[in-house]
Amino acid sequence: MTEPTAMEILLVEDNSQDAELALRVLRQANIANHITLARDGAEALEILFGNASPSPEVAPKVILLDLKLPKINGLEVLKRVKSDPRTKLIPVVVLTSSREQSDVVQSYRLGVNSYIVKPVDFERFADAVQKVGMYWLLLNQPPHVDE
Amino acid sequence: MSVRTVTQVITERGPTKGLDAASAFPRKDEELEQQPPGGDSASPETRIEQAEARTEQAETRTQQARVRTEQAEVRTEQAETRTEHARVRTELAEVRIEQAETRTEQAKTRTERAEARAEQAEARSEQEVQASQLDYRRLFQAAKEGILILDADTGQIADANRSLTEMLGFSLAELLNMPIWEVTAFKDAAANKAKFEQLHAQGYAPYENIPLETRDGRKITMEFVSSVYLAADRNVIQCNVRDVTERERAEETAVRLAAIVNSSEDAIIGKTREGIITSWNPGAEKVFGYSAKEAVGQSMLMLFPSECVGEEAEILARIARGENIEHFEAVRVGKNGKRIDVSVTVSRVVDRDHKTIGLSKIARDITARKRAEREVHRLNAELEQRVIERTAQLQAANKELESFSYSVSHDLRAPLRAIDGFSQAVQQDYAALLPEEGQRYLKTIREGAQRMGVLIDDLLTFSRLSRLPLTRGTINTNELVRALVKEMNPPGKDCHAAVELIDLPQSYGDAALLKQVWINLLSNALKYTRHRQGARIEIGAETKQGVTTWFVRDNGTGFDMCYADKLFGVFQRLHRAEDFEGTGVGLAIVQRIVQRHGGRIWADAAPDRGATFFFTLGDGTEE
Repeated sequence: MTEPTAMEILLVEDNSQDAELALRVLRQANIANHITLARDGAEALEILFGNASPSPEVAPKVILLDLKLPKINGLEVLKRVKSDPRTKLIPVVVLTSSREQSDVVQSYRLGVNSYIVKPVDFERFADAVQKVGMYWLLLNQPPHVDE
Repeated sequence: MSVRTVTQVITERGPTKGLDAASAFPRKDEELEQQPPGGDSASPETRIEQAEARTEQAETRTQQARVRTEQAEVRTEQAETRTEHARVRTELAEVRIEQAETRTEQAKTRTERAEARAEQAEARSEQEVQASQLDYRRLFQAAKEGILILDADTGQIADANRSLTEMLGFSLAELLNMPIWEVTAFKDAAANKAKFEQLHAQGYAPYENIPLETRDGRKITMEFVSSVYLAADRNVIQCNVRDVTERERAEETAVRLAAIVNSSEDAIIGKTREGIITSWNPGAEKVFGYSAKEAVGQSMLMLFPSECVGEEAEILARIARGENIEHFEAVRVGKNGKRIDVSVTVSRVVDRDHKTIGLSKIARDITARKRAEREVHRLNAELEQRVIERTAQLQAANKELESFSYSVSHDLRAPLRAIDGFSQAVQQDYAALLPEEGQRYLKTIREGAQRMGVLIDDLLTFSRLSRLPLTRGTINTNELVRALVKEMNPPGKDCHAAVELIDLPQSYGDAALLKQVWINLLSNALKYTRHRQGARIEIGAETKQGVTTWFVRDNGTGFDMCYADKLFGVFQRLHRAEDFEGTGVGLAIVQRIVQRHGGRIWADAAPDRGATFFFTLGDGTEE
């Protein structure tokens, strides 16, 4: 309540190094100040559905989701988000090391909004993260949930 | 004749006609009166006695006379009866005479007719003789047999028919009046002089199979039958000559065929339409163990295992329908009870009029072949089983590889990114604090991390190529390769190689993968001609016997062919990284794709003289 600014990005990433690098890039680019980090699928679901019903204010503008996660994997998280009317309008971007077609196809079947393979080269990784943040937070027009 | 005799007899009896009983007896009376002559000269007493005696005698005589009278009366009656009979007979005789006269007349007529007939007959028989001579001549000439007429006394040829002259090739003129032993054809044969004399003596001589020589030197075999008989007023010998060359040949053929049947390894069995064995060759004895003596007369059923007895009825029914049974594979039982695999051919044996007179059955012992077939079958099944097991193992391995490559792609990348990312963070945030040497180390760390990323990417690409199914189609190779050349070796200042490209035929395969093949080969060619002045790349294809061989030739660095076996191995490199960058996966990928298309890849090269890579693509069957 003291922070009226809503959560801008929910980053679901179990690899702390990747998470730290991503946060560094996003901050450097001045794209987002309010980034929430979930370290596994269960934590992500807790954040989204934990305190009663998620209010529009709590809902992130975009979810950056890794697929290979401890406890509950990314595809399961994606499925839950996209099948719940309260969260189904939240754009979800899969950001993963997997370029397996089965993962890509499955993600799109579940309604993913974008699928990005993390470039192995850090510079290209940094570039990708920065572009994704820029696109979803600044360029993209999200639907107004309260309308 | 008999008529005349009867007439005569009657005429001779004529004078007895006036004969009667009275005239037959007077002689008896005369005899009585003359007896006794001296009675008148005796005494009275004596005379009385004599008178008495005479009276008695007279009485006796009277008595006798009475008897005689009675007898005469009887005779008279008899005579009358006889006269009556004679009269009847005379009447009958007269009738007979009349009949005889009539018959005589008839006989005369008949004689006249017979004479007329005899005349006619004579005339006829003359005609008949003439006709029969004609018939004989015709028969003589038309006879299929050769007929030779010889003078029995001289041995000269008196006549010969057309068949004979044709048979021997001599004209009639050449034969006529020649003694038979002087005719060359007969010279060495039965008709030499000695034989002729023998025949002459015996009157009849059949000879079997006399070899003769025709005028043109052909040897023919003759059957000779000769006989002597009287014709008109002289003895002739008729020789009937039959050419039995054909018959002999047929007999010879039959003997030869029999020899073949007897020497056959196959069982050759004759049987009746009812399935009763009529002949049994040594081959049958060998295959089934029964001797001919044991088998002939038996039913074929003795060779059938109990569960196959129905087969025989079926075979006989099919044969009856006019079918032939060829190479029918069946099981039979031999004498020792052992089962024999046989291939059976059954056909009808027909006579000249195509009437079925029996069946022939040829059975080949295929036990050994069957055993081999079963063995092959068993081995195939075993192999099949092993293939199934191996496939299952491969599928398991593939699955493992899949999860391995997933984990490689996911888990091995993250640390690399961290190494690279934090190295960069140090460079950005703390560059001022680091001496130049420290900054170079950081740079090297980042290069190593990046190179490892590329290796992982290539490895994953390679492993994915082995797993993804092919999507085949017809590819316009010409268009594809031209576009790639333009893109990878663009004209202008970046162009460093002259690319010579002939028209390429269409290819059939997975478009994306084949594009990868061309990219890898083309980039190799470009890479290894990089340092060459006047770099040249030649791309072409050649089709021989329906198989197209594609090639990419360069005049670049080349390599020593002794390393050719390492060329297509993953991560195998023939050049140092300082000279030519690369992971050593490019050609392994090319080979993998070509192999998955059922094709082949090979190279020809020499150090500093360039290299040529050739490849083929299969006809659509995956390796």
